[in-house]
Amino acid sequence: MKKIDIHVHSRIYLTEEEEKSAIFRPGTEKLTYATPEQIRTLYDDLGIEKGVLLLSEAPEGMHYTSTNQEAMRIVRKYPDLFYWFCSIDPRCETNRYDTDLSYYINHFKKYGAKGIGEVTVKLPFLEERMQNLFRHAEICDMPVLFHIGTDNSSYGIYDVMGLKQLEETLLRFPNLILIGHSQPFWAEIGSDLTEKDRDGYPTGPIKKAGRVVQLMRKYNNLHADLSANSGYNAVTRDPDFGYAFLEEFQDRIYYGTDICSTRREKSFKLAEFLDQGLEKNKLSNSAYSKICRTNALRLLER
Amino acid sequence: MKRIDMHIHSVMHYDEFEKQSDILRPYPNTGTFATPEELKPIYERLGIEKGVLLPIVSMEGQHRMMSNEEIYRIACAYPDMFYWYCNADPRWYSNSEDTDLGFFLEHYKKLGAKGIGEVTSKLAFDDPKMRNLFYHAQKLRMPLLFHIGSEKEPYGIFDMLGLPLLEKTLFDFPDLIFIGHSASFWSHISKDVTEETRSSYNKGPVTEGGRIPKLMRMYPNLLADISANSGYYAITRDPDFGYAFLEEFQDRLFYGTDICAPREYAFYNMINFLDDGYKNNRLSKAAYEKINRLNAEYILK
Repeated sequence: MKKIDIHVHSRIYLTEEEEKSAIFRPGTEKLTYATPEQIRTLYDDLGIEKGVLLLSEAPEGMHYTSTNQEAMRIVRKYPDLFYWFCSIDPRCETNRYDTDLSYYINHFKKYGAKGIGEVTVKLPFLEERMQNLFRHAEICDMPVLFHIGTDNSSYGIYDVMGLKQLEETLLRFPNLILIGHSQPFWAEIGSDLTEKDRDGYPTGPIKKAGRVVQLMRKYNNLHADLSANSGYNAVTRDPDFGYAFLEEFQDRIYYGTDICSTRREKSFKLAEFLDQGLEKNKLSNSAYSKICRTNALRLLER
Repeated sequence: MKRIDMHIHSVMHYDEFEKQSDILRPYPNTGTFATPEELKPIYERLGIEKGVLLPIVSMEGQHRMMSNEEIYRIACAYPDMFYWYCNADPRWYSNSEDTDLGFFLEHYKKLGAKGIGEVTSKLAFDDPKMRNLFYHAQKLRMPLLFHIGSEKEPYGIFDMLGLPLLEKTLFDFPDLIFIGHSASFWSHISKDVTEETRSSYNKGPVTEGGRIPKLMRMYPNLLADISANSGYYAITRDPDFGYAFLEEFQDRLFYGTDICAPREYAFYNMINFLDDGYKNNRLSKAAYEKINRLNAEYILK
């Protein structure tokens, strides 16, 4: 079964000269988002058929300004490779709590956007402009995929340890599908978390289920993407716990990569973890299929 | 003499679908930014030879972004029509006061960017992240064109009434060329500006003692573009004052448009104000030529 990747980033060059003059992230590795062709190669290796192209126009933490217009250009050129979510920054236009964000959401929805994200804006969940985004996303029936940030993170919707603001948001917008992602989200899979570990990848057995488990039990509108090292680490750090978690929330979890460059990430082994789970009967056939593919299709082929 | 436009935005579409699918502002008749082809007849009409393309990389107050890459692409496609500035948001990358923003600015400088702007991020002038941008801009000797915003405005570098934070910035970064712009900047041409009027296009006689003339007298690193309705009304609201202002600061003012859509604007009349001033001996030949073209040529070398 070919997988669907709920979380991928890309950029496109229209000429060779553009590719040569591309901006990279600072550092020696010269990394930037992978091109669709580079992603296709990675997808072939990982058994992925199609991905959801995500972008954020928020400046926080970025090295390159992705735009909705570029995303549309990519998806139009590679319809067999990508679905897409649009970017809506709650500070756009009037930069107020009452901006008509539905105007923007509906525009991009009309052009095929299946959701909103990755939302990386560094504002708290309960900040009034952020709440306005959730309100309009719910009205427009568009899922929101978000990155949580701490005080120390360069980007991401801010929440305190314990994710109280996320909980309040889940409660206020019961018809909005919120798809969780990032270290401070996944670190909460276990309850033995400390403030200093929130932005990291806590390791070892999970003695007691954490807030993510509690919130997923309590709120049907909380979904989660397994992408990046954060998702990979969370479900593999304690394999028995991980497989049980995947089994329990099999209807609301999505396979994902968060490919942000051509680099082969440790998290690519998530595919193996899922495949082995199925082979060793630690993961049911239905959970495997849903997580790898059908949950995503349900969201994307509506 | 053909003019140089210090302040222009543009977008480019590759086909009809891209044009149709581009997002418009949600207000009637405001559309989106003009394409180079839409700008051509306007430039022809206003006697403009070339403009300085300014990207927008901070979403505050915008309906759409214009990335450095998109602007560079336009500049490459229309080399006879545009120079370009790059832009950087102080919250990029590590989103901290010590991000190496020079890494980004230098990259775009090598690609031909002549300065930085329009900086529209809604952070205060004295925010450590904003000061980090000024630090790197100064180090790389790249002029910085900025939009000032009040607390109520959706975008623009924040300053209080009277622009005390801008003054401190001018003092702290003496080798950085700052190019002022926006309603909240130009409303300070007159001393009688208030919190209520600072974001408006104020009309009527200018009260002597405004902060802009004062700051321009005190700080040689403060320059200004007279683009948009903000610049237009500031200079023309009191013609005698306006011409005297242009004459006094003739070495540090730039003609500009800030065309944000292919439509009519009041500020298109700025050229008549400048041309009439020259014809009627209210503006010297030197001032006229510097403001319309030579100052821009100098800074864009």
